[in-house]
Amino acid sequence: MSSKNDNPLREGVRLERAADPCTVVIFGASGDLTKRKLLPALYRLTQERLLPAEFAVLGFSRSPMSHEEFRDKMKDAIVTYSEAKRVDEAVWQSFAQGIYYIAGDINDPDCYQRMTELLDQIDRERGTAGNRVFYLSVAPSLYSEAIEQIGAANLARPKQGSWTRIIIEKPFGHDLESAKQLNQDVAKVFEEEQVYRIDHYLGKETVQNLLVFRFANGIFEPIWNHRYIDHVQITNAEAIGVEGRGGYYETAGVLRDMIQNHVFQVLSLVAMEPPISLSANAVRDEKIKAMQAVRPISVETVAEYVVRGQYGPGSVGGKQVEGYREEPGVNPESATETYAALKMYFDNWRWAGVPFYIRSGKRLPKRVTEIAIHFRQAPHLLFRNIPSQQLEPNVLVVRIQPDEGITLRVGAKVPGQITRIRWVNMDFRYGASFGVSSPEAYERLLLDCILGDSTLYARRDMTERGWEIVMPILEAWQSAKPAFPNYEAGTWGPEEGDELIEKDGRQWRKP
Amino acid sequence: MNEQPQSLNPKASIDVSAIERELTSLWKQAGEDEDNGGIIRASLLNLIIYAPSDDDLTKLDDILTDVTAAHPCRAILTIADRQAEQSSLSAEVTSRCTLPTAATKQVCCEQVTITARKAQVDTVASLIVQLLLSDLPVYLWWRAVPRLDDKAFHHLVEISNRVVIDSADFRETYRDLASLADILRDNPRWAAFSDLNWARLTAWRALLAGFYDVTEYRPLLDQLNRIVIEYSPLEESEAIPARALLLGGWLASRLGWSVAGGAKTTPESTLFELSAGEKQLTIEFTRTSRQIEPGHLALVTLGTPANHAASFTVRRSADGKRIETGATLGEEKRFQRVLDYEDWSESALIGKELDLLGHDRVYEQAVIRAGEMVARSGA
Repeated sequence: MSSKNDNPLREGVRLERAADPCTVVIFGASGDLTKRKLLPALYRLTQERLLPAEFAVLGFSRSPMSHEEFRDKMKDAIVTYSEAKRVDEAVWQSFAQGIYYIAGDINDPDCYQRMTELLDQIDRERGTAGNRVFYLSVAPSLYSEAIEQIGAANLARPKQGSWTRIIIEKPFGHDLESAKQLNQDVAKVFEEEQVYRIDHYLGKETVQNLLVFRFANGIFEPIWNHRYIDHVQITNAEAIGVEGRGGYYETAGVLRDMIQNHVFQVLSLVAMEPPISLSANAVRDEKIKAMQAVRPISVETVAEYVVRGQYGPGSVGGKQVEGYREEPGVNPESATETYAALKMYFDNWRWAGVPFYIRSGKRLPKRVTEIAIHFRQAPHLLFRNIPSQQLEPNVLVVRIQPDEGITLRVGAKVPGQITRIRWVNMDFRYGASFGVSSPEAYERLLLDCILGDSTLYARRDMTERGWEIVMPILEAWQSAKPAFPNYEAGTWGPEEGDELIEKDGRQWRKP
Repeated sequence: MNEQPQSLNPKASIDVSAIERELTSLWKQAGEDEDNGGIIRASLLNLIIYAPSDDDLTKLDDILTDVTAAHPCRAILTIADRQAEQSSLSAEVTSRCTLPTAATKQVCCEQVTITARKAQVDTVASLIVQLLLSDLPVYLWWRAVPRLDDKAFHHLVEISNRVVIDSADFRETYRDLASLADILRDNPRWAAFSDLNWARLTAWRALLAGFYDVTEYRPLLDQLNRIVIEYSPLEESEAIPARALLLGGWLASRLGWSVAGGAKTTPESTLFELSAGEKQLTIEFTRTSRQIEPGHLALVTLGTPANHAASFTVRRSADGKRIETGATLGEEKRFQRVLDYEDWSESALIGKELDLLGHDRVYEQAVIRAGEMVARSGA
């Protein structure tokens, strides 16, 4: 079989990530994600010539629609949600020729029979070579059924010389048991290397840059350990509330919605050992190894290591906002946490004794996600006569959003007759150094999947490990009724959150 | 926002430390003016722009505004006035700042504009080398025809990591292209060269390459025996435009086709004979009758022999706004694709070149093969 490597015209063409022919089958094609993210991303990838001419999209959902009606809806979606806010008619017609639609019930085997026939027809018409990506963008309760039906219709097994992959949206399970069950259901039908569990945080440029920053720069790795680092703070703050998703959020909470997936992915990139290569499994092996070293938090010690909170009314960005319990779809007596702070340890050689403080919440003062590495104080205090507040440790801040970048805080002498120290930030801002905008996370992740690169996707063991760590916390919380709300919207969370870190003689950063 | 230029008096030699002092003073002033947490000074590279006259300074200023916003750098704009009556050097310094937004700080970088007159043009490189920010790559944007016997070019290339030219500006296409081919062939260890005209071909090259990523079509690549490149003629020259020649050179070099015979020229086309082993092959450049910008490509067709005819085409649409691809295998026409035609601005093109370091061997081979073709053109 020939490959792109045999194509002498491909060498040196600046678009090096050209993808194989394929069909992307979207389950839940009439849903919001398809309109807002998936189709605009696929259209843009096509315009950037990163997808081949031999490419097609097959939408699948319950709503009866013709191919033409679905194309019209997708055109509206691309106009509404793409950056350009317009499509050229001839270019759209060319792209639209490759869009197909099939209506049906996700539980109905006949649908999958029709889907098989249509996919074969698309292969003939579009030259998509039998390569398929199934994208599950449906309610999580339907994942197992959809996967079973795909398997029963023999759609999971690629034909000779072709490939089949599946992308599964979050949430990946509601707890450890359901995540394990879902993984088992997936494993009955797909091999692990066919499975792409999406975590759009990993598509963000700065998250990817963490690997480069740590392992392409010789100066950081030698000090990236307990000998030089005092503690690490990870802040994942949102200024928004539940934005009409109160019904969903009531079943989730910040621990399930953000921490056990997104924040733990970031945490693992900070804590991992250098991988032996940049292959997907080499990177993910090191990530899971790090997470396996997380010191378990037992039900009995939850109060010592974890704080939860829920916002009440307050003001954010100059606007009065209501409390969580007043949001639509939320139980007025809700015990769902909108804030959580954790203290975690990695019981391994590199991180022995270094606390990782994590906080994530809604209706905090501003939207910011950052990792702050707090280094130890200089070992010998030469400047004894300097007021102690002037003697702070160095801090390295990796900001993921907004205004992605890296800042190193260093002490410098203020010019003058006496020695005074001021702390100055040495900034590297993505926006300042690379004026080009980063690709949308979904564009990057979809293309990675089509190219067969699962580095930025979560592996089975990682999803289960995330749940293992948080399960005792969820269990402890279930048995005790919290005194909610306990923080005002627009503040940095409950007082207990501050106490969690202050009792160790440290303070949260004010990002 | 650009600061007012701080000028240094014209004289035969310039005190580099005075330029650095002026730059420092600009930064201090900018920092004091800014009450919003200071400005960020960022530098990714040194960018030397060599302009053979001051005719397009306004245009260059606009380009630099765009380029420095995306690629913070120390820009050293060198205006070379060889026709001046007296030799002299003068310089002025300015800062270039992007406007801050709610989420981003103001980012500033700096520009030194040097005007070199008469004999000073040939020695200006020795001043520039002292102004380069250390440890950062040096890009030379040479806005003239590159010639080995040009001392200024020679000296500036030697202090640069990458040289950017634009072969679309070649007035005597065949002679200038041959000169460039000589430079690349004879100086493989020199700075890397890139060409804005080559970058304009990226979409064409990607689409042509894309045909043969498909397993079914890949074997047909080895059966190709004719290439037709249709172009819009230049306004003031009968020569085939450099862009068409570069594409022809690229296809020939990638496919392993060697120039075998002379060129057959008619008023409408020029046909080159090539070979690969025993195979006889042709590349034909033909003038389009369609209304397309002079020097641009209209259509590229790659074809196999008639007995198992297959052809692959990439063409500008009739209105020039789109680019279309198609494949024909025997009687069967395969699906077409239509994409927006991207006619990138000079700012965008130079910005993309500044992302690259290192030699582009594919480009170099394309130029050398194109140079071999024009050497046989008899023109």
